[in-house]
Amino acid sequence: METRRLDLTPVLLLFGLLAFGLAGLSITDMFLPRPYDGVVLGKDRGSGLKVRKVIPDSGAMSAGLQPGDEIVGIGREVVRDAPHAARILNGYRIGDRVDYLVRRDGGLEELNLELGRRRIGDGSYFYICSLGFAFFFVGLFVLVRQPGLLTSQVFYFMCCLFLLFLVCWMRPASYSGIDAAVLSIGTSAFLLLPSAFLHFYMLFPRPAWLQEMDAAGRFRPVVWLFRRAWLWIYALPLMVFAASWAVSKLLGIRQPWLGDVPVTSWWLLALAMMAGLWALRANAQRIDRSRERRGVALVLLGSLFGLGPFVVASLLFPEKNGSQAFFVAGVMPLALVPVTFAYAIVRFQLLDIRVILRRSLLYTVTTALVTGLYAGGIAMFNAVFRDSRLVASGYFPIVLALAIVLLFDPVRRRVQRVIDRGFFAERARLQRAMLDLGEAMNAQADPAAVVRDLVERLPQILGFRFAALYLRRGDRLERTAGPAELPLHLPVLKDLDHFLERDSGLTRLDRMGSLLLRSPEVAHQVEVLRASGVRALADLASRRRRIGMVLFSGRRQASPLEEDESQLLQRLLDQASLALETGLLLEERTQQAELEREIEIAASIQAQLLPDRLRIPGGWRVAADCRPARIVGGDFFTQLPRPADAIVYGDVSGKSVSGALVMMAAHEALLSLTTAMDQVVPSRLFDLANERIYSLGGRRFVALGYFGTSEDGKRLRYLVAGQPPPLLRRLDGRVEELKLPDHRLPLGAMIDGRYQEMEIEMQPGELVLGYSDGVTDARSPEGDFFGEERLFDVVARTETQDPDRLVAEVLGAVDAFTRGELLYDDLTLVAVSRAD
Amino acid sequence: MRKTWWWISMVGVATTVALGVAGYALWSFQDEPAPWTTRSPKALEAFDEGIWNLSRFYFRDAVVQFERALELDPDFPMARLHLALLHEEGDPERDRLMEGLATVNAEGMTEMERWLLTYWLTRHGGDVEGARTFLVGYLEGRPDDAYARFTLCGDRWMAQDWDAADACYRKLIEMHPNWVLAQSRLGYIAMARGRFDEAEEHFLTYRYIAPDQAAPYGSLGQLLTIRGRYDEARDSLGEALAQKGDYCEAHVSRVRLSLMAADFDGADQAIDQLEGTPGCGFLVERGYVCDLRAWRAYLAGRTGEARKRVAVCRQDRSFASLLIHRMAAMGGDLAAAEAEEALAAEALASTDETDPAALLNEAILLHLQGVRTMVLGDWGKAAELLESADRLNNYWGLERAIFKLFNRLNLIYCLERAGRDGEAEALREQVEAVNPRYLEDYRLPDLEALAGGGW
Repeated sequence: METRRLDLTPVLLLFGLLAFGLAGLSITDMFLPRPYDGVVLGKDRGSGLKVRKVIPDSGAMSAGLQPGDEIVGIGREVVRDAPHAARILNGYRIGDRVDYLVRRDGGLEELNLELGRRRIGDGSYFYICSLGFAFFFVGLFVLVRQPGLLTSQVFYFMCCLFLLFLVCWMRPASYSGIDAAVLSIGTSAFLLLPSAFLHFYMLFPRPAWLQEMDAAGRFRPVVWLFRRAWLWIYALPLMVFAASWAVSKLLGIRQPWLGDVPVTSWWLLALAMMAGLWALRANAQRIDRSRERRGVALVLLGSLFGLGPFVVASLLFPEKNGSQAFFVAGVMPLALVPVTFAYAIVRFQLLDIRVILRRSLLYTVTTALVTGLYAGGIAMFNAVFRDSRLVASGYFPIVLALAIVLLFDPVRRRVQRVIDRGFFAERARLQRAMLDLGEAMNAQADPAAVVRDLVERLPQILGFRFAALYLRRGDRLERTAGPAELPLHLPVLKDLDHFLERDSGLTRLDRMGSLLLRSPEVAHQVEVLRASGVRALADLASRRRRIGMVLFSGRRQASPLEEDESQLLQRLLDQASLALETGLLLEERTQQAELEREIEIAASIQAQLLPDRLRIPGGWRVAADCRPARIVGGDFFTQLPRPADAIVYGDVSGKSVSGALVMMAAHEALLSLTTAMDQVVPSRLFDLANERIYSLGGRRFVALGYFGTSEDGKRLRYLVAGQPPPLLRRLDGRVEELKLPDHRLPLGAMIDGRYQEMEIEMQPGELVLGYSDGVTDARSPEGDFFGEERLFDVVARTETQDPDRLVAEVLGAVDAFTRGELLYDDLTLVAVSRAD
Repeated sequence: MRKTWWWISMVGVATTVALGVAGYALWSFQDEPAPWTTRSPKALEAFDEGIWNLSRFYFRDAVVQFERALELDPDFPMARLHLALLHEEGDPERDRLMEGLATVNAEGMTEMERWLLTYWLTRHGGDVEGARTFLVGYLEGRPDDAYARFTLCGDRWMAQDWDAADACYRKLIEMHPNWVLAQSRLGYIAMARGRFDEAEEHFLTYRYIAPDQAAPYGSLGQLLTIRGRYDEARDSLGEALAQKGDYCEAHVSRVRLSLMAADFDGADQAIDQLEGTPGCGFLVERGYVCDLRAWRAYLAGRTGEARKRVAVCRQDRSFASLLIHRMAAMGGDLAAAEAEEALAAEALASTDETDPAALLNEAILLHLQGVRTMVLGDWGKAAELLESADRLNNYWGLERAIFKLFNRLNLIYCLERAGRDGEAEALREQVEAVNPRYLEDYRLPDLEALAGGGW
């Protein structure tokens, strides 16, 4: 296959669009309600307005106008040409009677005829139009499927020319204003058609003879010429036409014209056909595969028996041009060309396109149906509303055309279904299998089953040799399934991610040109994959996250995926992504549930560490409460075994599980040290605990507070390391912070503790409240802190000597402030009072 | 930013299109300026009416309208010019009118008026070639000026340069296929050259384009008369008169048709109608009607009556009469016949040899001499003279065509008498190809008498 790429596709598509529009305009124009005499003109505009055909039951027929007559005058005006005649006729209305001057058998006759409603298209023209559109759609699909291929481009161009030639050039010529323009366009298409044929045959299915000469280094000038010959090939017919025109105009040598072109152009067409068929044969001879050779032979036969009769009939029997016999012998066989081309391309995969026959058949049948509907609709309306103004309305055909357009798609779908069932059972099975696979994936809860579908069933269905699945694990992709030859891990590359995000669906490695130039990492990765036999890859991603990547080898058959296959594959990959994501989420949820259960256990254990009751002997009362911000927390309070009045409350850095673990460690350290010490001196206890926590490393801090009583039982001894200063509520309601030494860093902050114990004399009824910073850091829904001021206020307002009540009041105030929001930090309160 | 440019471009395009449409609308609704310069709208109206009549060959009506236009605006140069052109060359009135134009200030005139004036004044000054050169030069600069081309074609036409006139008119109808005067002229040129089918096609086209005009029916009637299709000719002439009852050319053609068809009663009626048509009084005055009656009598074999009539017709005439000469010659009054020939010779001598009329005058002289020689029994010499006359003559118009056929009739007689039966037969076939009924219907009593041994 020729692989040269030219960026002509947009231009060609535009040309095709124009050609399609012109053809449509030409056909639409034929149905516009205009006053019409019923004359179909011959195409040779140089020889006056020759009547080729008279429409039955028309005004012309009634007045006795006959084929072969020449219309000299209409409406008391001598007419120069068809557009002039059209202008005159447009000055009349349907039903008017008009005087004609007609030359017949060398004499002039005047006829008076009644103008009717225009209707010049007949069954044979509908056939021609269907043929033209069949050509066009076949060409369009070839181009769309293989846009970069020069052969496709030339084939498409040839099909567009065929469309114009058939629809415009073979249009039954009337006097319509656009007749001349349409016929000129048709003539231009006709002139260029032999060139397009020759050019196509030189390239199709590949320019083997040219390549052979090139490779052998033989006939270099010939090769050079043919490489650049196409411009000349297209210029030649125009030059011949111009020369013929110039000779006839300037030298007065008039050569015979046939169908608005000099007969030399016809001979050129015949020559180009012969040369083209020779090139085709030469290409076929150099093709090794007999399957391809058979395809080329079919194209050759299609051209010979499709075009041959038309050219021969036109050249040898010009007088029959436009007759029914010409239509049957010359025009009808033209259908062989698109049909044989399409069949050869499909059957023998000459252009690696298999949908063409399906599409061409589909569009031919649909076009025929739509055309039939249109014609039938018009005929029916004409019959039913013969005398109605509706039929004469200019809007009538437009509305009818819109209705047909609306009907087009449903009709096409139905036809598609029938054709698929009848001709493409294998394809239908493939599509069914892919749909089934998609449904199976949707139903899968087990990611392993989805993975199996992706790497085992999908390659089987689509004919890939293998597929592999890589799932994301952190910053790399891990091979979850696939051949062992492939790397176990692949790095996650941002450039590749962005590229795949944009280029959804299957991305061929050989279509990543610009990315490979931009990113050496991607280039390297692609190189590695290619060496392992990977030819394409597809992204697996859901809306929430990227899941991984599927790699595909080449297909067993050479053809790339077709459009509908690609769409199905994309849909399948989306379903696989969803299924995999669901599986992963399920897995994560299970792990989460297990973790939560363990945390609950931890919380229960932690709760058991907190004593149910605290007591300080010697007329002291104590109350405490602790609320973790999460299920488990880093705050605690406890009563040391020795001395009997010692109470410690703590707050470790971190919350939740990590906080809880450090809390447990601190709690355990305090208890074990207390047990180990002969005499428990709080400052010494804190120093030792500091050393142990500091030794844990990882910048873990534990803020502690200590309450005990003096030996006389009248003073409160306290030690604060990293905790907020405890508050003292005097009997008169004043609240003040207890004095603290300079060094009061939390445990674990510095290796050297140097903690200092303090004392304060308390009057009976006075209260001391120790608290962790979770109290002041509690936040309202608006984000405000509870703060020290509010705490002071609550303590001051609480006129009680009961530490339980004080703790309850403070907790109540915090709850009211946070209004049910989760605590920002664990919270601990310890209140102590001296009884009377 | 890109969007802004897009909008600017769109607005620019829309503005350009709108301005273009508005400009075109203004241009197309603008009244075309009148090509004729006059300060009087009524004079312009009358002038336009005159041109309309002119285009239909209604010359007398055109004269009336141009005169009226000139009365309304005595300084209307184009009315003066067109009125002058409707008078024959040499007519003092034409000279007077043209002289009035010589002093006209061309400033403020339209381009068309200026070239018309220049051309016709030059021509009137006798410099026909100079006028023609001027017109050709003007057309080189403006090849699409149809009226100038029509004038040039008229110049060729007047010079009876049929080839040039034919090419010129064809070019004109390529540009304007509905220019009826060109169709008419092409018909007459074809008729003059004996291409009767082609002439008929032009006249039919003319009739098709202008079915409300009398001229195409009249022209077609003449042609059909020449071709011997008398019934069709009669219908066509009848239609011409139905279109315009005072169309004198059609009346005259009807008389000639009846005479050709030997329908003498019909001829009488036609002559009566002609005489009774108010607009055709000038034909009576000029003696044409009298001539027709004399011919009618002659062809009907009423020689005496014919002789009396020609004696009173155009008593002070200065040109030769075929009938007077013929009756004189046949009656043996050779001196009278020679006197007629002298008149013909005088007419020939007074005609410039470049004047197309010279050929006709020469043909008349040769014919007269041929007839006299025939009476003398010198068949060979007579045939030679009549052959020469035949070569100089053509079928332009019914009157001239009748003369040509009449001359050929005499020639056939002479050839037969001279024993040149083959040539006589060939000529007979030629005449029959033109008019298969002519030799059968058009029987000359004097020739029959001569054939019988004496007149």
